[in-house]
Amino acid sequence: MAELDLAQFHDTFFEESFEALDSMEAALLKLDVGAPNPEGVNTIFRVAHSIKGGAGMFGFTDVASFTHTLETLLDELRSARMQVTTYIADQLLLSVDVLRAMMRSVQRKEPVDMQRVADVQFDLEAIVASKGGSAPAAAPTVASDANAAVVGVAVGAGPAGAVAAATVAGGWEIGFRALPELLLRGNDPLAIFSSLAELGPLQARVNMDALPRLRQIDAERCYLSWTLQLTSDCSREQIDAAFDWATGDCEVTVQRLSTVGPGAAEATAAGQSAATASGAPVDGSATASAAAPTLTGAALATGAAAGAAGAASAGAASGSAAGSAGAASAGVAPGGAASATVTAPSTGAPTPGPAAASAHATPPAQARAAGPDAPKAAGAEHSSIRVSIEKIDELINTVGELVITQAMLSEVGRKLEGPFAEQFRSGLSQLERNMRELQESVMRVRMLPISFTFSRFPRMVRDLAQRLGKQIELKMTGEQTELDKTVLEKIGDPLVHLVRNSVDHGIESPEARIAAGKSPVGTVHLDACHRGGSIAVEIRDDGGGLDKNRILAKARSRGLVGANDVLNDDQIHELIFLPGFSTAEKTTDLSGRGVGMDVVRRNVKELGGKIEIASELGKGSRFIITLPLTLAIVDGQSVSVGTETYIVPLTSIIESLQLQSQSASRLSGRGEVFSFRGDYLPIVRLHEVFGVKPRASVLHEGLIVVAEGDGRRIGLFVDDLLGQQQVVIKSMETNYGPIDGVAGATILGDGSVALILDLTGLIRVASSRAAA
Amino acid sequence: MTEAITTNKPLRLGSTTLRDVTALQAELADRLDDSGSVQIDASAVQRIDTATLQLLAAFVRDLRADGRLVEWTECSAALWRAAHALGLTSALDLAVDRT
Repeated sequence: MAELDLAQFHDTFFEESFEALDSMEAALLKLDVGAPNPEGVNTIFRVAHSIKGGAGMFGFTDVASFTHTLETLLDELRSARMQVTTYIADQLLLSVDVLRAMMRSVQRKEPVDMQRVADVQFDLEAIVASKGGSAPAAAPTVASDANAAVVGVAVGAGPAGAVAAATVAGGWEIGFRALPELLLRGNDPLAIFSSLAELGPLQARVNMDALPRLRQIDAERCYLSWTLQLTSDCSREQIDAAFDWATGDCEVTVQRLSTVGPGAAEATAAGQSAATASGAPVDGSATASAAAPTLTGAALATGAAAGAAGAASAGAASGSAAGSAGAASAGVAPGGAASATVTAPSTGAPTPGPAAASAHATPPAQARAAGPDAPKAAGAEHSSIRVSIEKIDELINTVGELVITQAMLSEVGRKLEGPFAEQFRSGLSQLERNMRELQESVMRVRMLPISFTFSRFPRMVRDLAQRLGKQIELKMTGEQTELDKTVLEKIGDPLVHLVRNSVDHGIESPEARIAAGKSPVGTVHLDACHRGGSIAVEIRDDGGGLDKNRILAKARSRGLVGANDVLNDDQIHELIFLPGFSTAEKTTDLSGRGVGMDVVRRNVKELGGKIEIASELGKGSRFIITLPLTLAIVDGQSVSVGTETYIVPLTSIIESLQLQSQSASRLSGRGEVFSFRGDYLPIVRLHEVFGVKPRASVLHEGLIVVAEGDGRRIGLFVDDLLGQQQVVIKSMETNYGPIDGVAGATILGDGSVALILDLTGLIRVASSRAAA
Repeated sequence: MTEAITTNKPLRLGSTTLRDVTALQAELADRLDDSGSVQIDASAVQRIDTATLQLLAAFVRDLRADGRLVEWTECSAALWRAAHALGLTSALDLAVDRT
């Protein structure tokens, strides 16, 4: 029998996991130390859980084992048995790093750095253990208390008990008691438990009541019994399989746990006593009282329904259905209330109010588990499918072709005469509207919110600030602003540079800030918004600002600026974009090596964007990056030169004007110039650049398009302006080869090809021609 | 002689399994007769089983009943994991704050 090749799903798994880790990191950073945030912890838990599930399925055992440990800690946190401390938050962030590194190694089939993994894993385990054990402040040294040792659960009444959520998780509760011969026959509970733990998170509660004094012990006999909670949607058979070898040497009871609402507790499996009845003298208030951290979605509905169904209020059993465990149990037991399971032997501890049960479930589980409430729950979810970028690009391409075909038809329609011409034209205009909508929708598919890029900054700023001993608050606004995936991917690194610069050079040390009369906490603000057809991303800090004198002095000392040159603010700011320019007094490993700003600008330019600086000494700096929304279409002005049509991107056009021949003058060595608002701009005759025979060769017969590129302006001399239109960019580099001054090509309505001008390149070409 | 042992010499725990639990039991029983806290160095534990952990749990419990404590000077990950898996970390007083 051919086995299903799981390898084909690896890529998807990794892709999803990396995304999941990003969201986990983001959620972690939002966790407030000391302030409980059950929803946040839940999100993190779900991420860890799904990674574990995937890793287990694909046989990435190291990843699965690590996430399992992580999940155990998160489970403690989400059930409020433990509070998030700074140390725990740090360890969790570290875990994200470790997981990322592990997955990357696994993905590349490289060896995993197991030492690091083991270290962090050990720390995580230690956290769980230390809190679980140190919580019971009530006489930990009394022997009888030790009998009720509940791992990871706060034992004991009082405040700890009050905040402790029930220990019950969705999945299975297994009672396990070893018979005397178990160990001698080579069966070790450890092995059994570890095979159970492969099915899902396993929590063991030991009962040592039967354990005699040390001297009386028959060392080869097992006196212990356990209550195990397995959070898993596995089948009963899978559980039984774990005990296969020990059959006859132990007593096992298995029962399913359900998401149980307040007061709805009733035994399911007839004839099976609740496993907890095996005698763990667990303090009722510890296991049962659940101060509801969250009650979400459909799980709430199920719980409420169960309560309403009038099930006996036997006590507080709070089910936390992790993963699809909730779904599985609800599938077997429709209605929930009828077959709710006794999960805590704690009739003596009534729940504090109806909201006391904490029922967690992953969204899909909720949707499936809720029965009649399912549609409502499903509506609240985001559903999505994963589509490869090639498929989308293919679609965009086809739509581009359609747009061209439609434009061709429009041309024909305009010339058409006859009885149906009008009808044809109205049909065409409708087609045009629909085409535009179709094109926009398809383009939107490629659009992603900029939060994908922003999400890495909270962590980065936090780490940097810690390392530099600065206090920095990162504000982010406009994260939902969408832009093309390609632009998004390429803007990441420049933004990292800028944010680093702000943190490293911009924001001063707390002492310096206080001395300057500022709050010791510096602010770095990231903002994104749409501006017309482009997106503006701004990085703003309230730090020291750019020191113009220092920049100028540095530039002079390097001979970049003549000793007597007078520069205005903008020109001085421009200096920091020069390669190798850095005014940092000492080079840190973060920035100040002089690489960065020139790379930033180059990257932004490559995307057809620009970067501006505004800065005030002592008050802070603003870096504004303006980017096109997409690289696939451009708003262009079509101009004609001879028989050719060229497209000038609208974003680079300042204005168009007609010039009298006498307004232009010829400078030796610098070509033709004309006066434009107090500046002299060079005139670039497009027909000369592209070797086309023009219709207008005298200036006043044609038009001048004043355009900007790379901070410089030129006057493009053309025959005529034709019209403005959105054009689909076809790459010249892919289809032909790079041409200086040409950004790409497009196909016009009449089927002819028009070149799209790249102003930056064109200015370079023109100035080299003028110099020649 | 006993004096010296009680206060100073830590109990070195190695990888113990069912085969040598009886020896361990005798050693632990000896320690019960001492006074003061018992230090255990479990850094060398690579493998450990339920029988051993059960003995240790009984030992720790009996010590506590005597008003005495166990101090784990070192604890290997293997021991820790096994204790955790069996729900015995508290019973073994392994639940120290490692932060």
